[in-house]
Amino acid sequence: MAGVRDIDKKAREAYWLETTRFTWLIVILWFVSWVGPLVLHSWLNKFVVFGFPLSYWFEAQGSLAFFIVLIVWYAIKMNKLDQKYGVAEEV
Amino acid sequence: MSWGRIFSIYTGSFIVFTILLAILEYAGAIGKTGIGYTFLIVTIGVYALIGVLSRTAKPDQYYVAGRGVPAFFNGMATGADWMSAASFISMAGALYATGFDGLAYVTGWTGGYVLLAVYLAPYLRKFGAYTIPDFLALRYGGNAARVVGLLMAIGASFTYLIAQITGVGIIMGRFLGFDFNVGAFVGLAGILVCSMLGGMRAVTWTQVAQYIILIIAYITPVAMLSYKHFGVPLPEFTYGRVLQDITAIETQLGVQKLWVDMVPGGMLNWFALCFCMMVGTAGLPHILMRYYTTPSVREARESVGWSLFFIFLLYFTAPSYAAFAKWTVLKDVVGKKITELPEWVHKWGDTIDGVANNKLGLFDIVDKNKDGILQLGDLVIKSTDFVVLATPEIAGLPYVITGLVMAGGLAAALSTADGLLLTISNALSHDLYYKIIDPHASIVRRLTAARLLLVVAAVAGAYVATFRINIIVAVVAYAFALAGSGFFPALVMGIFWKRANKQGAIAGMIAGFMTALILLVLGRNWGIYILGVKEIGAGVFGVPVGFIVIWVVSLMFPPPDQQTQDLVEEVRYPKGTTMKLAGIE
Repeated sequence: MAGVRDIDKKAREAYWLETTRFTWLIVILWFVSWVGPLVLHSWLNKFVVFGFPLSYWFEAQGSLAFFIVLIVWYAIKMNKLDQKYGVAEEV
Repeated sequence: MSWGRIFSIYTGSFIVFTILLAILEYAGAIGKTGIGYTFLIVTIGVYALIGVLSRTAKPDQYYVAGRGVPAFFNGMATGADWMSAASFISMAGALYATGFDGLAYVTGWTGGYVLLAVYLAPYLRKFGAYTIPDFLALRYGGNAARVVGLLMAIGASFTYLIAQITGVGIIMGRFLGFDFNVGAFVGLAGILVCSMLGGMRAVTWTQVAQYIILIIAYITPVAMLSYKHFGVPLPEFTYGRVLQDITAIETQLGVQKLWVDMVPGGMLNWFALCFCMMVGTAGLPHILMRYYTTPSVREARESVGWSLFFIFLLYFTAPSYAAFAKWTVLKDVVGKKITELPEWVHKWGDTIDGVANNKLGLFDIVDKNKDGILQLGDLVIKSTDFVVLATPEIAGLPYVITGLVMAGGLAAALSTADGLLLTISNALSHDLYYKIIDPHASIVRRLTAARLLLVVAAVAGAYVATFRINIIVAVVAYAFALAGSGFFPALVMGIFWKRANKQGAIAGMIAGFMTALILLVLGRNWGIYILGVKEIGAGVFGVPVGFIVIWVVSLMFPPPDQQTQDLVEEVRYPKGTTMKLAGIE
């Protein structure tokens, strides 16, 4: 079984840089998606969509659904990055 | 036969079984007690059967299900592992009582999976250990880190376990009239048959079976209620109209704080609570451990997505339960004559206008100003659990659906208890016995020890549960603050910062854990809060303290040795195998 040392060091560094940057992006989006509707609570709740005051809707449904989107996006993008830098698992 | 086929047939059979019971009930061939016992015996029988069929004598199977659980099914198992008696029975009630403010739990108990997905799950899978203390020991060189991790894992999991056993006892008491202690020990038997013979492998497949029952049981009553009122069985979308009605009625009644609004000045506490639940989610060992069981890093990443999807199905339905219950109370109960209350009030009321009604009831009807009309304050709630428990009757559904809810609540409590029990006994048998006390123990001895300790931990949990200590329920929420502050920083830094060393990690784990613990004690006993943040959100201070202490103390001591740094490098890339390199398994 091949170890990490068989992978070119430059490729490894580039992979890790891109990974950490992407991780930051996801975490920032995650934070904004639930803190935003909280901070703007009074203002957002004035808007009503399909009966839901918006701040309520985000914290009860919208942010939750967005969390799933973030995780799926992360999985797809990371699986692609693995291929791009040749660090994917051997099947 | 593939897993997909097996569980499709299983799901179909369960639905047919429920419909058959409904027909028998309609024909008058089976009563309430009969329905309750049938659900109890059939569901626990199925879990036991899966437990026995999944028995194993291989450590790899016992500890991590042979790392062969596909992403989809690991997601379902994680869903059941995660959603406890509290999520199933009590969360909607808490939302009923608090409105917007309670949503911190809904967002918090889902958002943590994002942190889990990007910071931990794929890396822990690549690392490929058996337990969380395993990771701490290898990354932070030695048994000191292992012992700290082991104590925290057992502390958090054991209080949580007691709450699940308590939940089982309460459910059996409410539906079948069991004495609490009898209920707790029946539940215990149900947990043991699932986990003892097959360890993680058995628990995984039982949890999948339990997830299917709990999600059907949770969604059915409120979907029927939505269908009854709006002709669409999708309560998650129709309750917008319910919210509008609630606001209109509240405005009419002159309620100061609307249900859909935040309590004034509540923002910081909302944030702290939500943050604490999120980081706690990503720090609870019984959840982290599930991502050791997927076949690959790739599937570990995908599995977190499935986990959250399956959890989301319940969590985005919970507020609709609360809204429909709130609406029903405001519309059909408040302002009505005490003598003309709807039937479900008579079923779930403890005393009605001073007359003893149902000793297992969850609220009292007290006509405070003796005008014969029920005002909002005349409904004295003893347990908001009525929100989930009474919904089948509010919707006018047959008793079989109430029985279904009981089966779902049991599945939620048992599945979480299974995962917790395994975490505790693995920490004791693998980390304490095998890694510290007797590293030369044979496989047979190790697995015997694991099973023995599983029984000991379970009996201890049930025994403590019989004392009915009130503090336990509060402590479960505290487990999030403690697990988040204690584990999360050390795990994340262990992967993302090579320079983090043993001294830093141990100091950081203890500092984070103690910060949260001290704030919990100060807040609970003396009402002392920092910046007005209630003790339940103590993690908002504990987590940063954990990170900062790891950082500062690590820099005061030499960097970790080359072997450890290589290990971290290895963990970051899916290619290659880590445990073999480190010469561990």
